[in-house]
Amino acid sequence: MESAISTGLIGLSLGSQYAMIAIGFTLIFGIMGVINFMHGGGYVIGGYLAFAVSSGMGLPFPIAVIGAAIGTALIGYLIETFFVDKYVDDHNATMLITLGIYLVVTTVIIIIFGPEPVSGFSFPISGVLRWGGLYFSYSNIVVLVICTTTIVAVYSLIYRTRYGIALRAMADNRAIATAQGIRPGRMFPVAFSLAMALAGLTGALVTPILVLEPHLGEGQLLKAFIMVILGGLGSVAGATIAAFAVGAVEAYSSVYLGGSKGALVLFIIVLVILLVRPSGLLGREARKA
Amino acid sequence: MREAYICEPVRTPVGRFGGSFRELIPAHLGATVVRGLLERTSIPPDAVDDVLFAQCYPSMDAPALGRVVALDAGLPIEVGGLQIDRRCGSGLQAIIYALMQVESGASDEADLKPDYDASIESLACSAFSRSQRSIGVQQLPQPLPCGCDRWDLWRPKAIWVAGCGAKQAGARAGEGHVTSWSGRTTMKDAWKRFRSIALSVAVSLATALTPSPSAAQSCEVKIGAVGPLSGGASGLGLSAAEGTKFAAAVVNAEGGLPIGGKRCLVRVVDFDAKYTPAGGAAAANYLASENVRITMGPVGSPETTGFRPAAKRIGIVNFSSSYMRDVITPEFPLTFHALQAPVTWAPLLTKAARDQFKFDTVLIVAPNDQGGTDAGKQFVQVYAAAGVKPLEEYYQRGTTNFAPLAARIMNINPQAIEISTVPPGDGVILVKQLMEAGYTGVIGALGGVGLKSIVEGAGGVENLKNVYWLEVSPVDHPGIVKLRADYKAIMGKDAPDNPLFAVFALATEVALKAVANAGTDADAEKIADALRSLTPESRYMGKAGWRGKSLYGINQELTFPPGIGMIVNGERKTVKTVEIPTE
Amino acid sequence: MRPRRYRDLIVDIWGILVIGPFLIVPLADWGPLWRSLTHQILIGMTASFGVYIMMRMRLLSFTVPAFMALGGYSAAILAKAGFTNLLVLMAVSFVVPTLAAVPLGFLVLRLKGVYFIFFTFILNEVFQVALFEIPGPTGGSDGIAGVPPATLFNADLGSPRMLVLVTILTALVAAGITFATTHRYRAEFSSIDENEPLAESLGVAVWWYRTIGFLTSAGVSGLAGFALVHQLTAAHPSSFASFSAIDYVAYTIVGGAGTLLGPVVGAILLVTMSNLFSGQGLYAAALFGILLTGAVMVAPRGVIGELRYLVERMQARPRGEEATRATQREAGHESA
Repeated sequence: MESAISTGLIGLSLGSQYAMIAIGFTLIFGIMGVINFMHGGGYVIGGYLAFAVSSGMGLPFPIAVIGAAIGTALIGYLIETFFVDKYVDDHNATMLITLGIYLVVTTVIIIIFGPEPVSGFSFPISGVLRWGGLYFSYSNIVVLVICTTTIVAVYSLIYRTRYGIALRAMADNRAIATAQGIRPGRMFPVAFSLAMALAGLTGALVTPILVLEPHLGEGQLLKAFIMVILGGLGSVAGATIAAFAVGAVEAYSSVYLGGSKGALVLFIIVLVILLVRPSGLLGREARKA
Repeated sequence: MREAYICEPVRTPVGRFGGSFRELIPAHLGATVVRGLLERTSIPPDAVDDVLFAQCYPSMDAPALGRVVALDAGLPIEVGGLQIDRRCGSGLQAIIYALMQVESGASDEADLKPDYDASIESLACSAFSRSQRSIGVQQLPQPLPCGCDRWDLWRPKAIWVAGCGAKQAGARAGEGHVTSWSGRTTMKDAWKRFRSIALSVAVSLATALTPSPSAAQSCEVKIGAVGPLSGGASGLGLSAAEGTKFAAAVVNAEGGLPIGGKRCLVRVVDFDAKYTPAGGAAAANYLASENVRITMGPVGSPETTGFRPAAKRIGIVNFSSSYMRDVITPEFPLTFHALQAPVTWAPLLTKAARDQFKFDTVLIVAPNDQGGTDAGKQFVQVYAAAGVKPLEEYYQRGTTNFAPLAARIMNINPQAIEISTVPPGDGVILVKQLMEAGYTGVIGALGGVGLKSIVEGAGGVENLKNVYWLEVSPVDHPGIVKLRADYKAIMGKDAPDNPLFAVFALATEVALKAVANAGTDADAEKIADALRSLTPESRYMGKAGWRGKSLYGINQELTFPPGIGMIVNGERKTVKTVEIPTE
Repeated sequence: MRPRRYRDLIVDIWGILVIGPFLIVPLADWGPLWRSLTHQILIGMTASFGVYIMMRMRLLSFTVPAFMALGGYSAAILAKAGFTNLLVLMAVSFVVPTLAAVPLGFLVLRLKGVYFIFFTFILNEVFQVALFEIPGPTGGSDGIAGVPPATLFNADLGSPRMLVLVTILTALVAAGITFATTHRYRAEFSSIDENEPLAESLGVAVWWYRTIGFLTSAGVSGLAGFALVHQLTAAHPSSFASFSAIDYVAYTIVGGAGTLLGPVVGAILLVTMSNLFSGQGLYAAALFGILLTGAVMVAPRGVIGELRYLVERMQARPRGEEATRATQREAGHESA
């Protein structure tokens, strides 16, 4: 019984970490139609920026995290403005462009920081909360709290503010939204930056708990794909639910079935859900890709 | 005179000059409105006769705006359109003309919107520009009543077809953007386009073909370095290459390799094999074309799988560091092994560990790829032979968070956990999370993974009390210490932490000696023979030997010794060098 | 001006013809580097034909590595069991993935747009895990090594020159199949590409043609897998990694997804450059990334697409004016 609860807790922290990545990815896809191969790169950049600020400059960790999020947002803004903006309508082109940028960024990181996992970068709060046979590390608690807060903030942004309404309008039907006066030229860079900031924030928070090395991006991207399909494209709520679902499935299947069978189970579940609901759990009719 | 009715007013929001519509083209705005109108009223599109739009600043992008808007909105090709300019009165004038058309019988349904008239102002930059931006859009609100349930009484009696290249319009309609009537590509445009393509190709070719500072010396010895220089395993490949380059640099610092009476500088040719078999094969062929006949690497098992057959055909001697099952074999006589596999040193180390820590069960954790499974199976045999019950746990390669695995391991509750085949980054996380989950047993890392980061990750030796690990090169051995110090002195930076660095530094030293003995760097057979007949020796580690006959069938494995390190009850012991017997 | 269909046909035929000159490499014995390049280019090209077929219907497919693996492994298992006839091996490596694609297609083709893309990406991962979990016949994570070379009428095709010939032959066969499919069903594929609901409403059974495309794409990918396994004499899981799907997609898009010549040119360009970059060690990935980004930004329609566009636009003006005048005459107006 305890084991089941512990596993549930693990699933919860996994889910919160995944949710931010999933939301960012689905935002970009929902609003702009861009498959952002650079999204995993945002995660890695966030981690390294936080590392540079906290270890390199010696500033306290919270500042490093905020700095990392802002820095990643800035990089996202630059990428969108200079590389993606002109080709936004051509989904294949943007996919390859962001992929190319990801390759370059990874190499730059290796050149600056080396290919080995970074040392000297750990979460400031260590220690584990133990209760009977259950355990939940403090770092995971902090990350869970921050992630939940951020998700709520993003929700309010998307669903409560006028700005968010504009973003959703762009996602729904770009032509009409533009005719209503919502300018893609202004919306897109900000949406992209927001999504990358989410990825960067996650990276800054999670990599000290796990590990920071240059090639984390690909794994994150694959997870993002899974969650976004499951949740339905363009649906923030769907992405969040899917993230926690994936976290739970991964936790339970890995603990009780072992690593590779666990992965197989996850894929099969995604497959079944897609059979039943080809647009994902909460997705609308799929955007033409 | 017939009666005309104005119905269904429809408009977009009003924008200001330079305001929110600045990035829109007028045709887009107009088309949106027309589409909306058609939706709301369900007029059959072919019932529309004419589309009258007011626009004070027409442009070449969408001349006769009404026509363009009609086509963009999906009206059939038979629907005509025009543009009216009476300055501020344009909008009203459009209504007036439409009413006159209908009342006179000239049109039965003059567009679209007898009620609807759009006054679209756009200040185009130049009449001849191809992509025009509208800067302002103004709409005249139409406060007229609606009574448009009479439209079905009107039958089309005249079809107006606008001039202006109707066929082209039809062909371009529905593309969703403004048709460009007069735009054509002049040779200048084509040249510009071609120029940028040619420039990019030229730049990339130039970059790619930039030769590494090539030797203008009288003679040069080439040696290859093959491994994953990009991708997830790049840590291994890059440090292996560094080891090779260092050994070459040491020889060059002495004036070069003495070969055939001369002293030749050693040049390292590296190639990224990307940890795939295809990469390994490509590496072999590329190096062959560079006349490289001796290679340090490939590092990874997949690369070695692809490299060996090609190398055998072409004739390239290579030193692999893979742990795959038959890494050296009589079938590929040119392949040597730069270090020993678990099956060789593990018996000695497990015995030492067991004697120290006294455990009876061990859980072997490995990723489910070739390196992991091959080594994992070797460990199973080794631990069983040492009297320890082995259990195996394989995890999905690419896992980033090991919390579930840690929980699963806790459920199994082994006394020792062997994590040697887990890549360094993963190892750090796994141990951290095992500590969090409350693991108090022994950790074994017989794979040369950087222990420093693992201990650090776990929170220091206070937390991680009992560990034994393999140092592929015994880091406390004075020879290795000097090796790293020399690296810093010659190359000006710290030596890579990854153990493959030292492994290949030593192996390259031996290889270069063999090349000198053979008198050539271009004849693989001669080099291989020289290798087999010499006693491997390093200025840092002293003499070693060859082994492998009993295990692999061929004596081509270097016996430079590894070391075993231990942390016992939180206290770190010095790394003991473990001598490997030669054969 | 000749109708577009005719011009497309010419360009497609050129796509097949461009493969021909590669024969010089084995026949004139140009050396290991050229052979290696030829192998890599042609295998990449064949795989990108799989992507190309699906893109004719505006479906971006990441399934290629999975089907390559199916084809490659089947051929490897068969060859090791003693059946080394080249034609048999090629046939098997085409048929097995095609058969597997039938149930898979049923699952996957219902998905629309981007779901299709992501799902096909995940399919590769599933395949890798499956390979590991079924170690018996597939050799698990070690793969199958020592695959004997194909034979044809008792001639052993194991020498380096013969290996290249086999790869060239496979590429030509794949190109032929791709050409045949895309031209036999040109109208249907184009209609699905341009406006699917409209096509469906006109009676085009979209699901049927999608399936045909999917099956052919699977078969062609299987041929690519065979060529790869044959060249390496080994079938290894890491040859069919999911991220390699992106490479094949890149070849198609950078070359131009409009005609057969596109993937051909894309593969030649990107594979050659990638090889050149590999010699630069650490910077290889970044250089390739720059090339990819640059190529797509400079030529969003693909290299061949842009060239055709330029050519057409340069020829457009005189034609445009004539057409304009002709139309106006028809409509009963006098030109201004």
